[in-house]
Amino acid sequence: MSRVAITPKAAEVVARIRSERHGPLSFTIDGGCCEGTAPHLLADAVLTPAAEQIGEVAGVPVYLQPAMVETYAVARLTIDVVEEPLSDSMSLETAHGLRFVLREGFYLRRA
Amino acid sequence: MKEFGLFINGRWEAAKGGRTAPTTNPATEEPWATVAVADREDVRKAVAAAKRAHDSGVWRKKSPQERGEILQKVAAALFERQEEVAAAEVQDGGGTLRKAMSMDVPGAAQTFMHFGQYICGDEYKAMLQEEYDESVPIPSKNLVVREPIGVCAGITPWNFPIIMASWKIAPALAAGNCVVIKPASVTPVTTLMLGEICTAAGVPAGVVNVISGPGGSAGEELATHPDVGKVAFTGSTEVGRRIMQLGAGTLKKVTLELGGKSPNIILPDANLDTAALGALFGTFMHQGQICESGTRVLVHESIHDVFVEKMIAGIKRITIGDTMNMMTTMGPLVSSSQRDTVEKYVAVGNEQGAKCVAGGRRPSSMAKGYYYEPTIFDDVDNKMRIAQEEIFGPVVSVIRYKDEDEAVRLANDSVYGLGGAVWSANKDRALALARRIETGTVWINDYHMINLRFPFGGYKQSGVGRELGKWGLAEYHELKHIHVGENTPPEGKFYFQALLN
Repeated sequence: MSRVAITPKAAEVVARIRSERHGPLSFTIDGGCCEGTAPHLLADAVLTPAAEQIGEVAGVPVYLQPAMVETYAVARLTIDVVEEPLSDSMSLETAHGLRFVLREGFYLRRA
Repeated sequence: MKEFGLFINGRWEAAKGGRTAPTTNPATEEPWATVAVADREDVRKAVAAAKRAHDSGVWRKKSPQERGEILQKVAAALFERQEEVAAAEVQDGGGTLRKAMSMDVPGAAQTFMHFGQYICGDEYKAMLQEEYDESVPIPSKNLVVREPIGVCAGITPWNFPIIMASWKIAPALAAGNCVVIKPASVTPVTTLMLGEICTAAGVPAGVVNVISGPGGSAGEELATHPDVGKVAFTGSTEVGRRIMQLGAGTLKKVTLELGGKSPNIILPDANLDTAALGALFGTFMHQGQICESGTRVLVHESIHDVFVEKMIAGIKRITIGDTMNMMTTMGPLVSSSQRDTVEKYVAVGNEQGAKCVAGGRRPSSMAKGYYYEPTIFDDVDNKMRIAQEEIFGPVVSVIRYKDEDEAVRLANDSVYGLGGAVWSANKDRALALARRIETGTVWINDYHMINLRFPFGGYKQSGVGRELGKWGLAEYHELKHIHVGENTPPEGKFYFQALLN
């Protein structure tokens, strides 16, 4: 059962990018200092076997990087999009001055 | 409002598409300068300029002495313009003028000075060429030589813009390469200025090029361009992953300096006054926006209460205020989205049961600016999100341990492995611990002591390769083995018998 959804606005952006790019698209939810925990839309992404697919949105599979798997084990996530003219993320929407973000509505696991 | 173009081939150029963007001052939340925004075509132009300069030999054919003297002139020029560059660094990236005047600009200048002087010495001569005489299986002279790679790309972050650019430019140029640098889009100004400063100091046109542009277009172009031989990236782990993957298409040499969740281990016999201030320095310097920040303080249970009290008391010595006042020691975070991230993690920390004993809110004294108070979470379990995920802000987790084995286990229980520290009166004991910690740097009784002579980089997912020192400099060269055989008649080549009767 899919644990991830996408807003209509974000789905439109995915469709737009699909028309521009060759190669299979995927969302990878990954964390880090500068871009925060975000969904990265990449073409031909190389995924580690330990990454976990948690669903599919707008025809694109969504994966959790291994470090995120336990954190989001019971999460219900939504992918949305905001304006971001100066992003250094390699995610494909940044070329259009946009950035995919993660809306978290989930039950936090107590450590 | 100041305007900056792209710096390509020794000149300022507008972006081909004419696109510009404002860059915001994190203290005022207002734009203070306009910067050209590069797209893929601009990057290709910059790479072409670097390649032309490299192929012409205008830089690589200079002797190390000549290159070294020019790099030292860059250092001198940076010192001359220290106030101007420091002010620009603070306006672009936040932090404090005190940091920019004592760390950013001197650090950048010292980087050029260090590599500029090193390549004039004998140790570099030996790095460039070693000679061996072999007699087995046949007599030959053997040379092992180092040469520049060619065009090197540097992609740098927003926390120490001019230092990070210098860590890429200085060793690359010292080794005879030409570079294209893409600074972080939110802090491009001082790197663009550095391009001009290098050229004015005598670096020939095309050897240093600076283009500011988004990661998904300009960054991707640099990471995939066939004429770029090496990509050196400092930034977040998820972007580093992608750059390594993109480089695979043309088998680029890739060095990555990524994130961290560095453990700061306090042993019971440490000078607790010093270690507590060291813990604050290690985690709150530059608002916690340092990759090797000691964001997990591991305290022995016997000294825990006293130590946390000292940390809380020490926070009074941090002065939040106007960035341009030299008495201010903590400034704003670089952007509102970075502060949003910090606030999210503080909420997560509270929800997961950690105890916030200091900070945890925006300072009421600052009406404007992306400020946040230094925040201490106590009673943190190493498995909590605030102990595992990189926050990149002024938030530290205090974690108890019972014995050294547990301290080591906790320290290494992270996907990261960048920095680490041990505080103890017993150096041997500390050294033994240091050897067991899986990080690229371990400080004993200190923190954030970066020395340009020694290698810096990460274990595990904190990075690939090393920067600085002769090790970092070596990584900006190709390595060639030349076997010099004798011009004998055929009988002298007995190994041909494997094929020829």
